[in-house]
Amino acid sequence: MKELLRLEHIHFRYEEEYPAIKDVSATLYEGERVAVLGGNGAGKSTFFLCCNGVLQPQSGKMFLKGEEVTDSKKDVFRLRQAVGLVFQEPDSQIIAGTVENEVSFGPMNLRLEHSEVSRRTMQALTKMNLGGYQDRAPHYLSGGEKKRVSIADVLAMQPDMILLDEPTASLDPENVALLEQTLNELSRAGITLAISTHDVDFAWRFATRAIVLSGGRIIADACIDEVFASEPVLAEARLKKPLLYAMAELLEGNLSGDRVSWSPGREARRKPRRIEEFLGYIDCSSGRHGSGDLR
Amino acid sequence: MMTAALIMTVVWCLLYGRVPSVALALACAVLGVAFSLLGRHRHRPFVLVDVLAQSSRLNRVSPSLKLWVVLVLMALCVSASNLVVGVFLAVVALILIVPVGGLRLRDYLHLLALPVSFLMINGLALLFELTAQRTGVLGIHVLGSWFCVSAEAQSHAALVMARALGAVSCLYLLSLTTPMSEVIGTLRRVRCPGILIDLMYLTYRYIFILLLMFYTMRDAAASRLGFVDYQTSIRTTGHLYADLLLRSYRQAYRNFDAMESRCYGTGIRFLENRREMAGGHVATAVGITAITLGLSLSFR
Repeated sequence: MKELLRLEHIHFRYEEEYPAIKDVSATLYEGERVAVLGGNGAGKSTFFLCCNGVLQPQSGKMFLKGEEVTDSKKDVFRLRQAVGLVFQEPDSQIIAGTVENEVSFGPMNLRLEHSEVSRRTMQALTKMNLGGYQDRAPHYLSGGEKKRVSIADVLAMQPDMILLDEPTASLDPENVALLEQTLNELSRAGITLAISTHDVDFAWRFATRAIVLSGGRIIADACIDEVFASEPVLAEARLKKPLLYAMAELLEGNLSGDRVSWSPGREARRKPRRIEEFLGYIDCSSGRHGSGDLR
Repeated sequence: MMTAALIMTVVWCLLYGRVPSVALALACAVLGVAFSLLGRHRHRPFVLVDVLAQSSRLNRVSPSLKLWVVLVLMALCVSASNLVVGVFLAVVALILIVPVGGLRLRDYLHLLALPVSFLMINGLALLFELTAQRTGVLGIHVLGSWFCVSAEAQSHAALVMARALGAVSCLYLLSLTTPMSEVIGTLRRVRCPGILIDLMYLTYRYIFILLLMFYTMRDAAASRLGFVDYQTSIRTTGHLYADLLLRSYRQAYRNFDAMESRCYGTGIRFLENRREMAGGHVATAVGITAITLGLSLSFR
């Protein structure tokens, strides 16, 4: 995989406060699906704001596609063009009086031709199921619709990577499912996606890699399965295991205890990410389909 | 109810001595009942105006055309030396907003109730004069003095109130048929300074964000008996506004970050789809302006 964004020993402190992120180093690759996990105040939002260039780290280096990003206007512009950021609260992001104006704000700042801005705006709106919302005022939309507008905002800029800060916060299950579907489509289109969340169930379904922050430091950066298998990491980050993961573990524990012999390498088996997979897992575990082998 | 009472009083004083008493009493009663039934003041008027503008059938008319016509009509109304112009514009606005634009009469009267109340209070101040002896067409004896209404005061108050009513109706014609974002977009096109345009966009957006915040906080305070008595209400309101101010600062910072994250540099720019001026709309606008000008000139 090609490197997209690399952070080396990034350090950021808000005025007269303790450092929000300390000595953070990470590399994000093209097409990845990354979950940035951590409890409240772990530094997830600050990490994202640094990745997008809204916050300038006090020390450390950043590289976009191998080229160093300095604090020059040109470099910051290049970074913000390539790395889109969707804020947690849509009301913090939305500034325009109509949905169309709102979504066109980013492309207009890229100094594109009006026809191109119009094309991108329509494309982003269609992708986010917002066709017909162009003339609607954002302040009269529901929470889920506002969230979709805020994602369309960033999509219209056609970035290589999208950072979503707490994307599932205050969304109902239907909107979470819609969001997940959209993120899957974006991922299939080759866009790198990173979400910051403490919704471990969503992260477990969505991501392949997890970066865990605690007290502003990265305490784990690995395949998401490995992260959730590590009790010390979860304890330090004040995280719980995803429900399906925990249930699968419980099931494995029960099976290993009495009825089924535990074959070597069984621990490496991929835990179910969705309820359908879990049902298959139960079938397989209980030997209904013959072998009793969990793999 | 207050507005209805004011309207009845002012109309009575304005027309006393000029219209037969029975007819005047009947007119006052009709106006009073109509306003007390239909014109009750609602909360969140600003939000209501914006919602109604979004759904008006005249929303499709070019905002530039509406803005310029309204400005010209207002100028004619304010400079008119007769009350016919103001009354004519109030009627035109009513027709354009209610049957043409599709707004319910009840909603329009709700919105009109607030400015009309102020208008009526000012009307009373213009009508009455404190004198030692009874003069003019109407006099009320209060504690040894007379509050009198003269014929000149009636004419003067009627002219001022007609101008104000006409101008307010023109403003409503614009604001109830044109979403604010389109008005701001039009101002940008006529080279209004960029900083003002940016401020207008942000202020417009902030009104909604802060209103939402305010209502949430107020409801939260009310749910904890924050308005249980007068003293508590005052204290709670103080806390509420102080907190709102702090939150508005925080919100401003967050909004600025979000704008910066999308490459904001030198001014807020949006994609603007210009609505073409239809021939029929231009003809109607020219017609209304010409009639207003004609009325203004012929009743000098």
